[in-house]
Amino acid sequence: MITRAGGNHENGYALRIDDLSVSAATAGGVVDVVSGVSFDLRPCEITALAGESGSGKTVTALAVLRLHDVRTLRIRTGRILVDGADMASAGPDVLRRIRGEKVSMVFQEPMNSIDPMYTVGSAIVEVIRAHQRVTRRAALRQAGELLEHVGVPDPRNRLGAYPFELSGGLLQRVMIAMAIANQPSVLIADEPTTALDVTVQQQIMQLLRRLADEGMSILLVTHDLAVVSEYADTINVMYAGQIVESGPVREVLSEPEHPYTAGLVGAVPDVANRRLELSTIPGRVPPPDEFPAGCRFAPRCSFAEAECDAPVAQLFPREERRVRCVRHAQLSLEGVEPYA
Amino acid sequence: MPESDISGVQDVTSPRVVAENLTKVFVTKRNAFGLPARRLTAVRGVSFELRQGEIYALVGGSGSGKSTVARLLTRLEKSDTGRVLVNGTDWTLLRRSALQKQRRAMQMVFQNPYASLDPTSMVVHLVGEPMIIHEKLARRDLDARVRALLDDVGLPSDSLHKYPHEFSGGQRQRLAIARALAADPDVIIADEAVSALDVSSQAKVLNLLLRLRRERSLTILFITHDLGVVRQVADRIGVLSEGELVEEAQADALFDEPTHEYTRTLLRSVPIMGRWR
Repeated sequence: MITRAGGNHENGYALRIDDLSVSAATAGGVVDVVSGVSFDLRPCEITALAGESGSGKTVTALAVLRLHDVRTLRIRTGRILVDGADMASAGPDVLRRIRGEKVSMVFQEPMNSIDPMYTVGSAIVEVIRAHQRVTRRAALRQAGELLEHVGVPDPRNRLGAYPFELSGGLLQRVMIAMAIANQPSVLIADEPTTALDVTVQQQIMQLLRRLADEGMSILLVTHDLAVVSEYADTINVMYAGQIVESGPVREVLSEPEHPYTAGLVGAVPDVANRRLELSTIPGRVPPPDEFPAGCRFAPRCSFAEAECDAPVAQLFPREERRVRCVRHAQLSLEGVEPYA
Repeated sequence: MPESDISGVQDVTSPRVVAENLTKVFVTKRNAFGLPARRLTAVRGVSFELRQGEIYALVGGSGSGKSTVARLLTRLEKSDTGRVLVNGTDWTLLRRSALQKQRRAMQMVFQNPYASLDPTSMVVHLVGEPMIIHEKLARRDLDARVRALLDDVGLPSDSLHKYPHEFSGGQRQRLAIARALAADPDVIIADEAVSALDVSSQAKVLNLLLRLRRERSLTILFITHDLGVVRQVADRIGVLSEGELVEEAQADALFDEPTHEYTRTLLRSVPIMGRWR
């Protein structure tokens, strides 16, 4: 019942972000916090949007559903194409149709994103009836099936439970059930397991992987490269508002072409091997009004040369690989070793 | 539970900290007469020791009792059973004023550097306060000492008159470490001290802790849920599950051959770099 492949099969993507820039009004004028971001979400794939805080990954994800803070942020350029609509310019009716029905979202803290006053069942019923003309009773039946589909034990009885009665892991499953209730083709998951224990994280990631295998496109916003490594198909690495590198997960992480990607990979404390010292990236992410005009990573990059002072366009070293580094061909960077 | 002294290399010096049979029961509900109606045993008969200069990691899921153990060790919370020996002194027997004097020996660094540093206090006071309290340091000598400490944790030494909000998360955690070091402790308890940081600042703080341990022969109790971090820093590891220490071993042994079922489950569920889908 829930299985359904996503939107534009003929075009190969369920959602396309094309040259998205989001600007913020600051004391020093208008600055881009997200600039020129482009990528596709394809059916049956988990696409990771990875980066540290301040990279613009969450703003990008929120902008897809136009959930960014409109008091401070504005979509300055770009298109967000899904199901024949452009979310970047869509009016309220189109927004209402796309949200929840075509694209839905799961957040980091399940406890903070569900109304504590309603039972789990009535919360899901509300979501279903917002988009489908069904009776309350039929919707409740669907809600039970949904909970079963996302692996909530004893689903029929859990419909009457209040959020506080459920553990963080169960609640995140409920949130996922709500998100997929109207069979959207795209699911955006913003750090869905960051607040959860590692054993629960594994269960939730396996659930998301199964939903992708059943046809959904999933955008996984995360800072955790180990999670990306195990569960995602493609990765977009963001730094200072731009995608600096993207491609198939295995290729990007094992043979990074951008020094920032290599730096991140080296800094991850890994359970598989102990190092005497973790490698670090000097300095810190600049605030948006101090983004350099040239390569934004150059001030922190140990490979930077004079040529890095000019703005860097996306480069396409290999099929499906994009990198934003003019020196990438001269560098040989260390990546992740395959786990034996 | 395995005895701690069979788990490998034995230090010749006596342990810095001995936790013996610690138990903590919280009353979670009271009846109409104000009597306990429901209890939660957060920590149950936990014993372990911290040896001079080692990094001991206490790992476990949320609700396993990790943080409660830290609070029992530092006497922020009174244990219902057992003893805590720090440099041979039983902290559970000390009265408040005596304890106050001993506190210097064991300092804490907390998870959230946005909540643990007084936002209205300048760096020189934040970091200098322990020196004033514990060694009655005169104000005029303060600046130089604080500057030296900032330098030691890798912060610009001209930050004396800045406030916490002027620093990034990673820098704030360095401030918290500098404040802990200001008391010249023998033991530092780091409770999820790097969990809120981005990987690149996390790596820097971990390297800092490793260096401090090396240079000052600090003993560090590292409390975390992150097994990747544990792998990088820990010499020995204790695994807590539902308030009980279910396994204790040298770090390599624990990762290579976990014996308790819970440890195995934990290790099986960790995502691993390079294990592609």
